[in-house]
Amino acid sequence: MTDGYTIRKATLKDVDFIATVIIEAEKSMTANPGLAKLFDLTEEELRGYLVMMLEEETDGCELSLSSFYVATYLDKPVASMAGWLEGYPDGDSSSILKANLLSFILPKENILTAMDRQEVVKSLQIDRQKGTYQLEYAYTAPEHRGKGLVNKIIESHLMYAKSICVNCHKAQVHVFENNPIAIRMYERSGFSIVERFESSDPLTKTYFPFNVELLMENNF
Amino acid sequence: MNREQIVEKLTAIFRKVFSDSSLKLEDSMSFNDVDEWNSLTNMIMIAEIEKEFGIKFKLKDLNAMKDAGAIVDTISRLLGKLTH
Repeated sequence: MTDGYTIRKATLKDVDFIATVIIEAEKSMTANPGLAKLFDLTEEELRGYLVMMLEEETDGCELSLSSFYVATYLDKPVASMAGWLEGYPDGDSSSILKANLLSFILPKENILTAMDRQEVVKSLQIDRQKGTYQLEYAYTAPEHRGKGLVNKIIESHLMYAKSICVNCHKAQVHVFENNPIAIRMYERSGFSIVERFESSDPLTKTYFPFNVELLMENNF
Repeated sequence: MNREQIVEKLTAIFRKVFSDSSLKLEDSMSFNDVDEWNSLTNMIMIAEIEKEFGIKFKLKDLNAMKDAGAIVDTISRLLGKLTH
C-alpha cells in the first residue's frame, strides 16, 4: 500500500493491539464487549485474558493470532480483522476451538455463571459453514478511519483464502443490524445480506449489542 | 476410578449441560451429534468436568477431545497421573 500503510499478517508484537480490536468489535456500537458481559468480566479483565489466548498457538478461529491481518502505519498497527477457512486444516469447528481457548484461560467460576445464559446465546447463534472463509472482528483506530483500511485487509484475506483453497469461493461475515457503518463497509468489499436472524429472547440486548444479526456473503 | 465409573459421571454431566435426562453417552458422540452442543455448552461441560473430577485440562487436551470417547480417555489419563 502507499501513504505509509502496509498490510501484513499479525505477529506476537501485535497482541495488545489485537486485544483492543476484539474488545472494540465486541462492543459493536455499545458500551461493553459482549464477551465481558456474558462471563461477568470487566473490560480490563477481558483484555488480560485475550492477550493470554492470543499468545496460545491455536489456529483456525477468531481468537487465533494467526487469523489476523493488520494494517500498519509507520510500523504501528492501526487496523485489523480476523479471517480463517472454516474447518481448515483439521476439520475442527472454529466455535469449538474458540470455546477451548476460553475454557483454558477463563476462570471456571466465570464460565459457570453463563450456565443460565445458554438460551439467549442459542437464540442468535449462526452456524459457520465448513469450507467457507469466515471474517470477524474488524476495527480501525479512529485517526486512521475513512481510508478503506479494512477493505484492503479483506482483500488480503481473500487472496490468502484462494492461496490455501482453490475450491473456496464464499466468504461470510456476521454483523449486527445496529451497525450500518460496518454493513456499508462490507458492501464496498462485495458482500451482500443473505439472511437475517432476529432473537425474541428478552435478555438478548443484555448480552449482545443488538437483537438482530445479519449474515453477509461474498462469492469471490 | 475405572472407565465405567468415569462414563457414569460424565453421562450425568452431559445430561445436565445438554438438558436431556435420557441422553446415553456413546464413544463416538461429538459436537455434530447433539443439537445443544455449541461453544457455550462446550465450555460449561469442560468446567463441570474439571470441577467434578478435580482435574485441569491442557489446551492440547481440549483440542484433541473430538468425541465423548476421547474425553473419557483424557479424564482417565489425568486421573491416573493424580494417583501415581
